[in-house]
Amino acid sequence: MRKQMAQRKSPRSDRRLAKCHVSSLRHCHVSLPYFSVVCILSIRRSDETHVVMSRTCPRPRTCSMSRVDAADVLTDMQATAVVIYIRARYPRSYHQDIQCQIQLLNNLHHDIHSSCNMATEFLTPFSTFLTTPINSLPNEILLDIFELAVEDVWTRNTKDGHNCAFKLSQVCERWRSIMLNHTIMWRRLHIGDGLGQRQRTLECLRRIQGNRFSPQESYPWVSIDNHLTGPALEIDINCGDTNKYCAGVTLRKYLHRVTKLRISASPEPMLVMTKFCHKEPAPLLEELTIVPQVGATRWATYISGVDLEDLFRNEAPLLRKVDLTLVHLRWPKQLLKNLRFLTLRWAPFGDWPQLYNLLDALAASPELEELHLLCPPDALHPSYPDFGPAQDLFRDVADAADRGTKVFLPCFKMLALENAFIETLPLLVPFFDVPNIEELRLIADDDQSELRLGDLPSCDFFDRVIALRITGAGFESMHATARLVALIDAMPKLDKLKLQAGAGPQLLQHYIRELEDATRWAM
Amino acid sequence: MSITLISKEGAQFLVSKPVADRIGVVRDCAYGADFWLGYAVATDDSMGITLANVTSSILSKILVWCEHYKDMEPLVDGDSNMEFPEWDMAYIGHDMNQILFVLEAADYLHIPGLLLLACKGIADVLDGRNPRGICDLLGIVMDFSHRQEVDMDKENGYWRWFLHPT
Repeated sequence: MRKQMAQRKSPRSDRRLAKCHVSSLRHCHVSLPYFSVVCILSIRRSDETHVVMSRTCPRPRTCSMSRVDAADVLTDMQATAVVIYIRARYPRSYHQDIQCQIQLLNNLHHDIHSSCNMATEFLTPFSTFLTTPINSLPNEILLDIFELAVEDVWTRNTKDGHNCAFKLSQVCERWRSIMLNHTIMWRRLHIGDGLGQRQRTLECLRRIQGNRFSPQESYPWVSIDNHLTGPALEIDINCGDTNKYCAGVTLRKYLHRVTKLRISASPEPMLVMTKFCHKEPAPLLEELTIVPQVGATRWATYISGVDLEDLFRNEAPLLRKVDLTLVHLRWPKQLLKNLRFLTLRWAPFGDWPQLYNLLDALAASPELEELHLLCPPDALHPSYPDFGPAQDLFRDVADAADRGTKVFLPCFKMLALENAFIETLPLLVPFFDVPNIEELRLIADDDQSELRLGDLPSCDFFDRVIALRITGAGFESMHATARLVALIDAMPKLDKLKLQAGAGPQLLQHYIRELEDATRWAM
Repeated sequence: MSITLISKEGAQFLVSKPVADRIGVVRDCAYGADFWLGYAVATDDSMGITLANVTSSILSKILVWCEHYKDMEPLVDGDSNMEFPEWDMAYIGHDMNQILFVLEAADYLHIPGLLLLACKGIADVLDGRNPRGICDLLGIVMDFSHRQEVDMDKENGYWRWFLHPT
């Protein structure tokens, strides 16, 4: 037994135990694994008897010593002395392994800690992403929001609307991905001057052209041919000399996809762009606006070869809404047909239509709903005191009257006359056969104190009007108010009077006085 | 006939049929099953339809909209030249969180008119803000890569692009 124990124990341990006359060593099999801290309680009961037993072990699962309660031993054996030996045995070879393992564990702990930090950093954006309500919306709804946002701004200001699409694409990666993957978001194109505008125009064109993966048949997608498919475009050109060729080339390349086109430019760009417009058809064009900038009007009258009559090679079958400032040399008969909304803006030196021209144009658009004849304030230049839009329009009034024809417009609902054109009212409306007319709109920014309405004819037009809208403060003089009252009296079915933008105080005063007089008379 | 709607918190809302018709989920659940099953699921007042994803406050707000439009058609997607009535714009307001909750609920309840109105509300709030302002408003993190930032600088025509075109 001793031999076996001597083989198991270290030399130091053997020496310590050898001094004891231990008869009970048979109970103490000190075969501890390493790392064990062993408390050995040695109790001398008598000179001849020693008891050695284990008391505690910090790692009892690795301790194979028999366990004896020290208190019981002391009580039973009347111990006279207690010696406690604490031994920890760490062999050198294992000690190095342990150090390595500890180092490895430290490294592992460090790695885990680093990984935790990285994971936290990685997950923080996701948690932020998930806790942000708008990030939980599906792409389709976000696309609807973007579409509404761009459309709203575009309606107010085309340049801002164009930039709004870029802003939305620069918010975060998801929004950018949505914007770039839907070419429909880039269908509104503003070509103007200024820093970065050309770059943005080209970028926008690249985005329109670059995504051809899902051409659809329904609006606003078009598929003219296999190579130039994409969303239908709305182009607003408002530029000077800087981007005129960029605008011209854009028109030439994409005119077949344009649904709404607005050109507002100074003289030379206007010439360039209209020349480009002559070369290509516009099969999808629905709305056309041509408004020369200041200075372009007079210059444009000297342009040859840019008559609107030949615009788009006479191929714009879907054109329904036209807003023109008449600076061309010939009345565009081919352009003004099958329209629903027609706005003609007067310009000095322009080639205004004579009455039979206008009536022919109206007759060519049986579905016409609205006609606006607009004249800017102060259009009557002092050097031409007797020459204004009204006189210009009715130079041939005698010939037109001789024709004795009326233009039948079953869908016609509104006639709007502005400033100097208000005088044309009694001359113009007898030629209209408009069974569904609803509203007459008079816009007076100029002083109408010398308004010449003459005797209002009795005609179906006045009999059928049910709403009169007066805008502007031009009717504030007594004379104009009196003429207005006469006009109102000539419309028996009138039941809505809308007064806007400063119009009305004098007119209301008139009716209040009239009501007071009637009340006194009744009393 | 009326239907009881139960919100996420368990609050009950008694609504009439015209109002319930505006809510697609409720309409399908209460009346649409009649087509497939031969009988309606909710045929009396005692039955309730639980809308587990809609809180009481949002549901009550949505019911105000449904009550307003019980007799007329709201604007829906596809109307050209949309111009929302003043009542709609006053209803939706400018509180972004509230609009987002209404939007999520309208999507869940399948109310296209309200969904479009909420989209319009968010679009109005986004109006006039630059990308940084939108991020701050909505709590979005700008998570662009360096490459994307360079691309955006090109789009914006910033001086960096002109100095370092590569």
